[in-house]
Amino acid sequence: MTYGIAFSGANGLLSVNSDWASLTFIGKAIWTGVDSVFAADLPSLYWDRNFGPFGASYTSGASGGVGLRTFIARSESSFCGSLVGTLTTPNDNGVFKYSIASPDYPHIFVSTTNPAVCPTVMGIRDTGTVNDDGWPIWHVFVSLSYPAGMRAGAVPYVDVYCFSQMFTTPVDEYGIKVFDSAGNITFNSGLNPLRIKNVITITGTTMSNPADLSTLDIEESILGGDLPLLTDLAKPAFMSTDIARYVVTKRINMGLLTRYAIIGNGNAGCEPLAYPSIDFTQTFLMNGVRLAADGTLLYSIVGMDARNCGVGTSSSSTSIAKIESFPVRIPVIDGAEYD
Amino acid sequence: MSYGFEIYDASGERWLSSTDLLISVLDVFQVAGESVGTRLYPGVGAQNVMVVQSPVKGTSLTTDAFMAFCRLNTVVTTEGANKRVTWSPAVRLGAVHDINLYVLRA
Repeated sequence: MTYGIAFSGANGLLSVNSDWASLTFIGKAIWTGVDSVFAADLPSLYWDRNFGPFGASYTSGASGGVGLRTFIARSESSFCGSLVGTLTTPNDNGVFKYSIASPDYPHIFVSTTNPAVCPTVMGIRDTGTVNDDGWPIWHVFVSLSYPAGMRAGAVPYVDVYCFSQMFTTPVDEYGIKVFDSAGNITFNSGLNPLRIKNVITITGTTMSNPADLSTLDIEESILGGDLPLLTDLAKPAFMSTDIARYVVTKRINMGLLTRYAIIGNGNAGCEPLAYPSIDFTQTFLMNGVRLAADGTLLYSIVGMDARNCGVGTSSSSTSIAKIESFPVRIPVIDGAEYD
Repeated sequence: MSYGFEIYDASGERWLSSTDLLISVLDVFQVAGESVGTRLYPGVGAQNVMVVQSPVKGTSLTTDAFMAFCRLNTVVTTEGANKRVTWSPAVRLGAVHDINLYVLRA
């Protein structure tokens, strides 16, 4: 810059400046208590491969039961019953709708005080309405995984911190204000600024065992220098971003039974015909970030949706495909400074 | 501390010091989930610039569209005294949706 004001910190990174607006703490988003979805309320889904006397047909839909998200592959014949393979989600979960009034697009940081409860922001939407101060009201959709049946009981463990640019501020008689060349506020000591403690960079994930779908290994690094370690923070909160999907394909090898008839002697019955396999895939959502007691980062995996069903010919197996794009940089704050 | 600066609020709580790191917003804009583009940010060539993505979803929470996953590959490069942000399609699972890009300066 050729004019203006700029403060740099001991780590050499820029702090207060007159060119760009810093983000200010607006408040914590509040769970609305309505318009949320719990996996335990959703019906299980089934896929049928029906081998009838006139060929095979394929149907899918919702079954009558509800509970932890269950995906069922069934192989049926018209005369000889059915065989069933089932895939259930590893964690109970839901999508919770939160609300916050913010003068501009809210930047969200989430923290959890319960290692069994894990949040991820799935989306942010301007509702088109405003509060009494004329601030737009935003909905923040947070995916939570939690112990089976906890549901709304998970909410007290989670904090959703919201920050925004503040374009106009109340008049103060003391303190420091910094303005840009257009007269916009870039810093105001009367407001609580967003203070980043560190930045983590995730470079990859590893989950090699399809049978263990609850956690995964994260390859990550943090900025060094004079910045505090994540374990030095009283309540680390991470800027929430949806970073990856794991897709698990479970292949059920089913023996089909078909009726046969022996012409002339009246005998009939069921016998194994073949062993076609039914594949169905379940999308697993990587859910949130939390810091373990030993300083390692943890993500949990929560099954959220079934995606495809097809027919294969190989024997039973389970495979995983990762849908991800790294590196991802995630700023970290100490949520305790905003409680 | 023996050097640097500290700023306090009216209650005597320390709100900012030279050991803190503030995030400033250079830009926030929305792009299509599988788009390609670039933007130049003058005067920040020596700064630490990062890009954070946020999906733009609908309001129905049980649809495939809400559960879809779409990320862009974002690259920050230095061009003299300036920074350039470039985005291109990276990965997608399910329906395409728009993405908000936050360009932040630390």
